Amino acid sequence: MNHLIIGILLFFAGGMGELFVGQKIKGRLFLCGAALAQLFILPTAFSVLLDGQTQSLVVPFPFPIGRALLLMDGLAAFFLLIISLGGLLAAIYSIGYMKMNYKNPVSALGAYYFFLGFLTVSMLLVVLVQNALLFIIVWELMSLASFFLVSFDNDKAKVHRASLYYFIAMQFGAALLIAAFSWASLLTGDMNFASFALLSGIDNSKTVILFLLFFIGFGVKAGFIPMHTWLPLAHPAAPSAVSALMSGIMIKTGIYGILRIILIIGIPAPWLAYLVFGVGWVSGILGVMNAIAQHDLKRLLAYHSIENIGIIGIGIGMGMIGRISGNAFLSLAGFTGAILHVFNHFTFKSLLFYAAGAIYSQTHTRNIEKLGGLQHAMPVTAALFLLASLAICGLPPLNGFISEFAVYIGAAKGLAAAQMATNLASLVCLTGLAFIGIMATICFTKVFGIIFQGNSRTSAEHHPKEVSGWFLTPMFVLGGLILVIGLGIPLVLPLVESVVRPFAADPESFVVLQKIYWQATHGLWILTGLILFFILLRFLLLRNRSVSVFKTWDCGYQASDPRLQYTASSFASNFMALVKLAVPQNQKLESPQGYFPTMAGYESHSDDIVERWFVRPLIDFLQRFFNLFSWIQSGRTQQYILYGLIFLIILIIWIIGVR
Amino acid sequence: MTLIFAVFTFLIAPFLLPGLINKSKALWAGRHGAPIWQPGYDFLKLLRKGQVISKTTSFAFRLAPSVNLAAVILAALIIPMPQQTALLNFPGDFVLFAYALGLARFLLVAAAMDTGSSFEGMGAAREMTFASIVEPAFFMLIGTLALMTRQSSLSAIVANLDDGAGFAMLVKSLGTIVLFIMLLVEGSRGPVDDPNTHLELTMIHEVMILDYSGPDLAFMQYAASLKMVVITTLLANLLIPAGIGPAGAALLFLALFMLVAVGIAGTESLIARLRMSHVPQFIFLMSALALTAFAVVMFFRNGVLR
Amino acid sequence: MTDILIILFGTLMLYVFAASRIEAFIKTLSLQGLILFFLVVTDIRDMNWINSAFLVLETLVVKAIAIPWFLLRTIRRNEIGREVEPYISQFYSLMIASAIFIFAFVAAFWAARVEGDIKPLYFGVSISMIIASLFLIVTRKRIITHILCFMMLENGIFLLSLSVANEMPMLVNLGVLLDLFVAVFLLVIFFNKIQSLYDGSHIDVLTQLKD
Repeated sequence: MNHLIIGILLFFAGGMGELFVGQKIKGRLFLCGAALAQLFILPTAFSVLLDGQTQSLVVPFPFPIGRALLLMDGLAAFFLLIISLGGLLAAIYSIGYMKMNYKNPVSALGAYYFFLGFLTVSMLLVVLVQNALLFIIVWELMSLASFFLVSFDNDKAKVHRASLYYFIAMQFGAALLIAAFSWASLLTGDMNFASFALLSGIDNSKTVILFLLFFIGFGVKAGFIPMHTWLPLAHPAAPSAVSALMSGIMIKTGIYGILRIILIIGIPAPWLAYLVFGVGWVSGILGVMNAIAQHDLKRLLAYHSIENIGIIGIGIGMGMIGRISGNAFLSLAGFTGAILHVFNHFTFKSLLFYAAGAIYSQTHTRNIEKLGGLQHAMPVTAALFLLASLAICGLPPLNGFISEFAVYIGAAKGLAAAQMATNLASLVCLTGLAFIGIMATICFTKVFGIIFQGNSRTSAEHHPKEVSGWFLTPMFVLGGLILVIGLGIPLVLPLVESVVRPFAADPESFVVLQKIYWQATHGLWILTGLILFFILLRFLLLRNRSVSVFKTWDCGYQASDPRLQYTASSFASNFMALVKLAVPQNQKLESPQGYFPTMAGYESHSDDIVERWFVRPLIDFLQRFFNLFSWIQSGRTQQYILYGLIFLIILIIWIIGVR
Repeated sequence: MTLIFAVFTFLIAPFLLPGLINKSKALWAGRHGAPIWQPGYDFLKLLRKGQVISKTTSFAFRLAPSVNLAAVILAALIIPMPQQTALLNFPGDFVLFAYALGLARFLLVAAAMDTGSSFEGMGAAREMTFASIVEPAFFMLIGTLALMTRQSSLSAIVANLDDGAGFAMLVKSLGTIVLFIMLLVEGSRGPVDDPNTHLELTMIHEVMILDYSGPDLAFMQYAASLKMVVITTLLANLLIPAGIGPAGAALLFLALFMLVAVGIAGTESLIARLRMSHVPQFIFLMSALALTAFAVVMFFRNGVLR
Repeated sequence: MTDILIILFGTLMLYVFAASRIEAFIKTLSLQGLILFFLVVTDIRDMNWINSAFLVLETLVVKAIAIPWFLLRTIRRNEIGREVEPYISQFYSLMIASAIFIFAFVAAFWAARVEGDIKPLYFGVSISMIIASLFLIVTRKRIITHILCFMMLENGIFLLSLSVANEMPMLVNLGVLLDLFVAVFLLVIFFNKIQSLYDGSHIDVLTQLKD
């Protein structure tokens, strides 16, 4: 455990130390700190995962925290892995990104690395602390550090607005968490998580409300619908390394919170399990529907994060349903799927955001309608992007398939259960996951096809080139993880066992799950073998044949132009027409007029229905309501002094009179 | 027995099925039509040729035939033959089945977008849209069957289909219609697509492989046919009762196979290709029927209806 | 003796309500400082001699002489003559001032009945001083007037601290330090800077600082 503290301190030292050195070595110094920290953090985390022993450390704090316990159990170790690795990769990527996108000297570069270190350290601490007050402090530090990182570019008005929106959303979540933690401490008389376990013996209605408060509070951070509206604003606004860190890791701390609460409080009422499942289901489906409609690359990826959080939510929900209905395998499979997906999503979503950053660095636009044909200029990025796209759609033999498979198999076994509610939930789960999967495929074939394939839709001033090693190294690491986990899940599964055991403590089910995974992995190896075989066969067949290169078949049309290619909106329009109700499109059409029209235009924009019908009316109402009181703040000092005077007089009367 | 079935599935059926369909259509239209084994002759011819590749394309285009074929073959390994268990057989294998076909679809669409042609983009968009309705419906159907038989592997489901009361027949017939519509969509037959033409009105699957030639085209066409064979096998499995012996099962399977081919041909000849905006509604029929089947099983199983 | 001084102190406050020339304000301020000096001199009990020397120095030098002189010099240099028409006219201000005095004395005698240790005269005058100064700040428009009223507020607080000096000698010193703080900060920095930016030192322009 002490090694862990050293590791955390190294991250922090990297972040602080680089403030004092010159521009050129700021990034490298931070990277050294991050890399050294891995040496301390990773072995500790692995050892906890492998042998299942929890480690703890008591740190004395001054009043009012008292003596705080830092506990590393399986769940914490798992998240430590993700956070630590993610911080290292972000550090590597940032060096290249800063060099390429900002002119030397970069203003606020020191602040950037400082907050990067701060964010990593606070996330590491969030999963370790077991004291409510300390948890809130570290949670708020995490929100604060990420806020500053998101607003790195805030000379642009849009970034400024987005970062403020993000900050307010985080404070809203934190407010709910503070309320929940305070109430829980009040009920149990102690601020440590261990004593919250007593809550399950108290009056049930209170525990239910507590659970709901925690769920919504952590859900804001995780990005469940309808608390998700900050995600599509904050992720495009932040620099790409920060987007990757936030999307791949930080929103998972919300999931961590929910899992921790399930461990501590349990499930106070059965309908809560269905609520979690439902929220996850809606998030997954609505998230990916909105993603299909976007044409800003990072906004699209942000909606995909919402979708994957939804999948994790479905997993957790199924796990909870299994627990309340006594279906041991379902609960195991559900939670295993959710936890595996936390890691897997980190790998492919970070990879996608890093690739998006690389694309942005070379083309200076996030609008995919302007891109095209990038695979010729950036083949490595294209290949890695394709790999991540296949993974995020859950296609075999990659790791996305593995985690979704766990939830699928849980649902399949759930269909065999005796209770009607479980059967219904299982079918809804199956259908929902299938729908989400195919929609993700639609979206990523669109994205990959429009950005990398075909021809460029606009002519750029300077030609894009492949990005440097700083960009590519973290992408390769993540790509490697995708392949390794996909093809070698039986090796990885024992690591997850100690994480899942507190949720679903049935060792027999785990053996069954492992056996199923072995058989599935055989299928995946057969698939990989077949792919390699056919590639070889094709190569052999074509060796002695004539292979000539010509332009694409265009039906004899001579004036072919790259602008004639399918655009992203046209690709998506077929599908969007089906889901008009869920993702309404605003369209502006200027029809061509007359016999020789000179101008015509079409513009379409998709609305997020939660934002339009829920969040925006709420904000408008609040603004109108508080405007009624705006006369209180007139700007005149005298008025404020008058308030003080009135208060003084009332105070004198009250003290003397009442006493 | 397994060997015979394997030979049939991989070496005979992918060429027999399209050939039968084309022959039936021709006869229906009053023509002689091409020989039944024509797809086989075409396949061998293509394998011997060279190819022309578009200069707009890159690795996805070259990778797609191999991956497509590999994925469909994997899917074929999971489908059980009548009275047999499949080579790959584990709880939840239907997920691998569907997602392997999904992998094939992804690469196919990626290859289509790779050429930078608007024809292929159009076909890709339509293919994905229709797939988005088919996939959930398919899972709903398999879920229903799993609920009915309390099994979760395709082989086990197929083996246990007859356990249960009279509603099993109802579910099986609903499932047959669902799978038939799925066959029409995935195989790009009418009334969803018109496999004869490459006109803009009818382009879905045929257009995505417009730029392929030579061995690549052979791979792609074989993979498409194999996909149809796989779904046909699943369909046939639904209808074969459990009691008859292996020889009877094999004969019944062959008969059903040919019946499906004729059925597809009949549908194509009798119903014109639907308007593109009506096709999703047609495919949604699949979801509706699957949902009905699920409701039936749920209520029978849990004693609401008897 | 002290009682007369305190009543004089309170009367000066009433005078301020009626006055409209800034120099009158400043002279009142100086007189109040002088009175406080006399009060300190006559009322010292058992504080140590450093403390008392410091107090004497402070009241005499700073309150009675230094600050008024500095203020006088500033306004003469900047040619500020009179207060402009306040929000509540001076006639009604006087009525309100009387009301404030009555209220403060009622409160003081009420408190003295409950809590034995309070000297009602000190208490009443200082409370009325404080409330009246705040009221003046609220109703006058010029910044210089605000500063002057703030100084008078401090005089009131100083008087209050003198009345409880037995229990809390520290409080007296804190009051003195507050005075010095105001002297340095407000006068030098604030007034000169603002004077250079705006003519006439009206405070309405400061409302732009809102939000």
